[in-house]
Amino acid sequence: MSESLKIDLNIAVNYITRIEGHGNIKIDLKKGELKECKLEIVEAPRFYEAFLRGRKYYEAPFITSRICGICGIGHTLASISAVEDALNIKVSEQTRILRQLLNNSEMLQSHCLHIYFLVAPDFYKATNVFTMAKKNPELALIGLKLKKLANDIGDIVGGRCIHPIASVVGGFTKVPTKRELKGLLDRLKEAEKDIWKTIEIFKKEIEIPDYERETEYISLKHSDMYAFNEGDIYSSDTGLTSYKNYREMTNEYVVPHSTAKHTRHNRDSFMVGALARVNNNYAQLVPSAKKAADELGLKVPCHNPYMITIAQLIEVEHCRVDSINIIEELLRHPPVYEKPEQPKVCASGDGVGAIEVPRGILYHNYIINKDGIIEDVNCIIPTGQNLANIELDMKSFIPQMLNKSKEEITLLMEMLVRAYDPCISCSAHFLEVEFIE
Amino acid sequence: MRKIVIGIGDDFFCDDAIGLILLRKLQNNPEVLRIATLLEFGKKSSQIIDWIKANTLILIIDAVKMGLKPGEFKIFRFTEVKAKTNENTISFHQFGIAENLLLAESLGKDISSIYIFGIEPERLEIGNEISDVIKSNIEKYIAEIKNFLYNI
Repeated sequence: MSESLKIDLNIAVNYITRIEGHGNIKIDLKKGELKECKLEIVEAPRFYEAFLRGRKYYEAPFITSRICGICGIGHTLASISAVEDALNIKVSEQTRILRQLLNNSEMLQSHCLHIYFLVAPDFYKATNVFTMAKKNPELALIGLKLKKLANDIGDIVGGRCIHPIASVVGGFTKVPTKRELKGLLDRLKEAEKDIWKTIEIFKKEIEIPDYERETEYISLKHSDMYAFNEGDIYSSDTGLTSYKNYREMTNEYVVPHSTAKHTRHNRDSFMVGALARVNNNYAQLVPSAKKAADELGLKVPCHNPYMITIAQLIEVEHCRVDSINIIEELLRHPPVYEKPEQPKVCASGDGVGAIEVPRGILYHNYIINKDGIIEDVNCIIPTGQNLANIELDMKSFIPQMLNKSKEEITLLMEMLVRAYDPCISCSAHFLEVEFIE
Repeated sequence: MRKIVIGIGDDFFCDDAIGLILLRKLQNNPEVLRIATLLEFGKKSSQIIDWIKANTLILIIDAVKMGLKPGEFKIFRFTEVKAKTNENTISFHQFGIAENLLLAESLGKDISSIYIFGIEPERLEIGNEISDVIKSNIEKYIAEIKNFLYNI
């Protein structure tokens, strides 16, 4: 490491690879002082909130699902939840647990994509999944197998795994058969060895960068379960508040270098997503997920953002076991078709849907008039909530790594952004990185 | 040798639907069904890795930009061409058939028996109508696919 890098460092990485969407990182250090450190989000806004206005309430889940090809299930469920909250629609217990299973499928598939195909290449000094697969085909094959299983759960429960069609306001238009559920159950049980093989490989072969910065962790919290689909909002700083108060928890604001809004609550930034959930709700993880946390060295509260990937792997195990529990319950009481609940005539209201999706809490808020027309919309996407926290991590970490080469610093910055699993396509749309020298 | 025909594409992206249209027509043809397994993948091309096996020929039908005139077609082995991929900047919003075949190759699978029936598109944009030049050639494409499957 040359002495000059301790004084002047100007790095420009104009395409952060292996994330969903497009953005830039710019870092400018002059005489050891950080002049600029930005995560630019440069994709154009897509105006979903604008074109939902004037549509019927039942169209919203199908339209908002298209915000993302990775987390379309989450958008569907958040949208349905907001409509049902606005129109006071109560759903059956069967619908509740089918939705939990559907959301588990998205957690599994999105986390597996991120762990095995976007992040794993970093651990094997590979630039992409193709070279990583040559070095460790077993890991890539496990990733493909788990992703297929997750997609198949989405297909069977949601009608299709991308942009589901069977999950609608008030319930489901079709329910899975016993045979389909039994098939999934067997495969979920089989997946245990794949997940534990991954844990074994990670324990032996990967090195997580050594960096910590305490921040505020925000997630849903529920008294009876590890909160994904239901719950109120919990901050590690300020405690529990109703999901209805989401605006007080997010406080969106605009920064000039990002087309996605930033958020803050009790501090200058907060974290949402797998690590925030594990930190806040560790006690409600299934025992084998806690065991996975022990094996992988994650102790809560964990303040290392690079451990988000590890938290995702812990959630993969949690979702696997939780899905088994749900399916066993469904096999004891086989699902029957129920006509989806409809709103009362002239129902109207202001409703909020708050759902944990892979990258954190997703909020949809609709105002619906007595004709069932959506009059106003607000969607707050997890990646947007994490942006300010990523920038503060970068600002805090860079001064600690000036003894490293420019290439190492660049890689660590890219890995940091990737760890958050940003979906810029959702928040506005991608990411590029620029270190300026 | 087992023969598998796969339709790739998007019904709502104009000429990108041609792989699906042709596959659905083939599904109504008992002669073809006797000699080949037909699979409609749509946009979920990652499934292909599971189907690449020894002694199995795969024919993928898809709209392919090859620099031909719109509506013209070509049958070629995937290994004969250099497909444009974005290997280092890839996100999974961009992971298509070419990337999945490269991944299969990286995993040690033999992709030499994968053929593409590529049709040069005229329009690739949002819409559910295919171009006239492609529509008018559908029967010709079907005949060529059948000919390929019978004679390979």
